Amino acid sequence: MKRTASQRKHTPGEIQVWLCAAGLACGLLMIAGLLLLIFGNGVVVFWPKPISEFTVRSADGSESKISGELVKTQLRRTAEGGTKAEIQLFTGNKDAYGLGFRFIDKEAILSESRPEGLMLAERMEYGDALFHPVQLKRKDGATLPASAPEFQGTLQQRLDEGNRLRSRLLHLEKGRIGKINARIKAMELRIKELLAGGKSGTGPEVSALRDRIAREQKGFDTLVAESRQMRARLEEDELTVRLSTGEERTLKTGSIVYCYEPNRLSLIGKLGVFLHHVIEFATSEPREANTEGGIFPAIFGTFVMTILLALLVTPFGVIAAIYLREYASQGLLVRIVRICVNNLAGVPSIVFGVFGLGFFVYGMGAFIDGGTRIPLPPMWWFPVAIAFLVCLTGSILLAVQSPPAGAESENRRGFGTRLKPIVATLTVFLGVLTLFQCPYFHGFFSSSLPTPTFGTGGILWASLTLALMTLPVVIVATEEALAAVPRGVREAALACGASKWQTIQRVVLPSALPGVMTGVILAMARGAGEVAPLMITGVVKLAPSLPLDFEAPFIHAERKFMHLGFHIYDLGFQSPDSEAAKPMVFATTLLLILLVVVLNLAAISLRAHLRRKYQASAF
Amino acid sequence: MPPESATPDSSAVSSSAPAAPLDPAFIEVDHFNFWYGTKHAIQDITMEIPERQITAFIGPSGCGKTTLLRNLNRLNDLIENIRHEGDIRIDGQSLYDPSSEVISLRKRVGMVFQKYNPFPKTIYENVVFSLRVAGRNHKAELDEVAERSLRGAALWDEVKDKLHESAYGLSGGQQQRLCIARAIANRPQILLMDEPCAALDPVATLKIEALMTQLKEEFTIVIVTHNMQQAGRVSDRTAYFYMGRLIEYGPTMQLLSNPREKATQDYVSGRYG
Ligand SMILES: Nc1ncnc2c1ncn2[C@@H]1O[C@H](COP(=O)(O)OP(=O)(O)OP(=O)(O)O)[C@@H](O)[C@H]1O
Ligand SMILES: [Mg+2]
Repeated sequence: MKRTASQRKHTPGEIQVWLCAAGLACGLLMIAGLLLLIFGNGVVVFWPKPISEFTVRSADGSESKISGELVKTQLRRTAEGGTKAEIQLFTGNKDAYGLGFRFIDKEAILSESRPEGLMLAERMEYGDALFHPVQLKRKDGATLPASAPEFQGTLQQRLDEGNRLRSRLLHLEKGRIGKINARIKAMELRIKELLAGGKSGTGPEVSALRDRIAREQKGFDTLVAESRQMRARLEEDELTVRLSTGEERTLKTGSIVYCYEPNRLSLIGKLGVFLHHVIEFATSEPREANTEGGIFPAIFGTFVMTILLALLVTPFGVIAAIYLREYASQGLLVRIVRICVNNLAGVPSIVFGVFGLGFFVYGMGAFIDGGTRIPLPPMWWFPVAIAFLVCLTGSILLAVQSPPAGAESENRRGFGTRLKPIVATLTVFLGVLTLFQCPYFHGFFSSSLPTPTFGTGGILWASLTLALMTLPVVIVATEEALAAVPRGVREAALACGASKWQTIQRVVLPSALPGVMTGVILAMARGAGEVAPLMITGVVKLAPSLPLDFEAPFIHAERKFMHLGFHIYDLGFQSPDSEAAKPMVFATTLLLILLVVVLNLAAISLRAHLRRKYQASAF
Repeated sequence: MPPESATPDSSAVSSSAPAAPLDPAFIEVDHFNFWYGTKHAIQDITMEIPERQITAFIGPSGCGKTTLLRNLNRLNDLIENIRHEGDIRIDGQSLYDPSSEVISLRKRVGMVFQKYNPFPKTIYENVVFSLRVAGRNHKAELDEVAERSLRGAALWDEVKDKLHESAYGLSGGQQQRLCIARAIANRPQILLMDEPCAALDPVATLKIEALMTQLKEEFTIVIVTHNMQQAGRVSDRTAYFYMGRLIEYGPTMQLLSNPREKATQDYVSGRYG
């Protein structure tokens, strides 16, 4: 008798399991590879590398010296068809050499050494300088040769002084001078308004303002003089250096930010330099077209934008989901709305960007700035406004008169319920029309036109655009969370005499909260990394000020901002010196990932806290 | 309290001989029919439930006990595609009268569910929930109500030290008693209990039965049970349902020991099915 398959002693192994496992392994490997690549490349940037001095024979037979940091070795195809090894050197001294990098044929290298006295200086301009220090020259002419024992200490002291001076200068120029500037501008605007309002140019109000401007101007002038003096002091001390090529140059100590001798560093010294670099990267402002310095404004901008996005998207998404899941009768219409919402999640983000630009920036922004450009004539506007008021009253009446939700019995459900969404939509539509077409509103910032205030990209519009983009994520997650709240607790709440809204608010929402948080986390993660829509709604390469500072009104929703994602794009593809920017690309990417991780961890721990508090169901 | 409270205390009467006179009705079910879609779940039921007594609903699974119970506080309104005919009156007032409000009805009718369902809140907030939704937020009052209700549900001693911890930290039986405390917190006139002991062990069951006997001094209780002994132990009157119909309804002693109908006889003696 033949054994059938089910009688066999050993069932055959299932090959599909291996396929699944292999798929998973591939996925994990790719993720791990991505993280390792970014982490490796990103961290290496900050680690100080040794600097070599090469003696090179040039084509005409003469010998020359050049020093630099080895970037990579590669093979080059020669004209004859063979290959030649060459090295890429980071030579620094862009001001002297014209370029920061150089390729040298390996054949041409006669010797290589690592002189301990070689010094690397990070400067405000022209990037790093590599040199042998010669002497320090003070403004009174006194000189201190590099061989003197106190040379290092004195140099460091000069540098510290310069750094302190620079930060004071920044405070003076950005803070105090900026404030006076803003005050003067505000008063000038006021004068413009007064003149436009028919006041005479010699009237008491205007001349009082003019006097105040003159007084402010005097204060302004003294401050400017002070800053000029400080700048001059930065120029006073000079460091004479000799480049490896033999050329002697002088550097102003005031232009050097940080300097060290890479070949003399011990491990601990290297670690110190590394930490210094990391801290500088995370906390200072960019220099030299973003290729040098830190990226603090971009970190801050991304952070503020993401928080704003979460704050904007959560209420809208939750309210929409509550209506869809709890109130709307589950018919064809709701099904269509749900499909639309889900499809919205698949729309390319740049489309949202264009919408944001058209609607938020050019529509709402321009409206806030200067009112409607082509208002309805009053004879049309008034009927619209009246229709709006009628609808508003209607919807309020509907809300009040209809039986409290949850009490709708079979014989009461009917006309009013069907009507509600229609009336609500009509009310909103007419309300928007009434507001936006009002012929009597001329904007909050009309006096500063044609310079736009809100009518141009800004952090508020960018966040709103991203909030719209991530809305489906929150809606879907919230709907799921609401659906997962057990029927029993809802019925219990109703049986206790709670109205439907009380039930939702006190019982359903708290137990759905962890699920809602999941949606918000996903939305934040998606929003924080998005670049395309931001580029047209408010991100800039270099923002003059942060969107949040200590100047009233503290939150400057109209300001443009910097963003890590855009910063990466800008560094990698828009930078004048892409070689110099390359390491920064990885470092910035690393930071972007870190920021997203930190934001998500914060949200996740908040969710865990909520879950512990309302441990109802697990999502 | 409604004027009915002036009538003689009926609990004393119920424990007397089977031939006792009918107590004044508090809940009147009047030719009531109920449909889930096309399913005719309740078929022409007419019965009167007296005040401050325990009335038990018994019958095989799916016969419509829960459905009738949930109609007494109109909780079935939440379900789509339902329809009813006939009327239910509490204290003389129709539930389906356009002027009667569901929320105030539910404030007068507390309910304990077949499956315990505390809110994802603290024990304290669970108990005072019905007061909070009624807009009563005075701390002193809430504290007093919480203690009284928890004592009423024989739970106070077990939870008095952890009032502000999550209700989910309690055992199943404690959670069910918490639900009872929650249902009696706002002093409803009627307490509906849908198999309150289905998920409990014998000890907790006895506790809850003792509790019911005590609660009937104040409340009119309707209890659904599958347990004939329980019906015998606690209830004054018992109704036997079968396939959406009321087969027999009378004082518990009589119905359990000497039923009029053959079907009832079969069911109570365990020969059903
Ligand atoms: N939501 C519903 N939709 C449709 N039919 C329902 C619904 N709830 C109950 N039914 C039906 O109505 C009938 C009565 O149900 P009900 O829950 O009242 O029974 P029950 O007597 O409480 O049973 P059990 O003792 O098992 O709890 C059953 O046949 C059931 O299938
Ligand atoms: Mg039931």
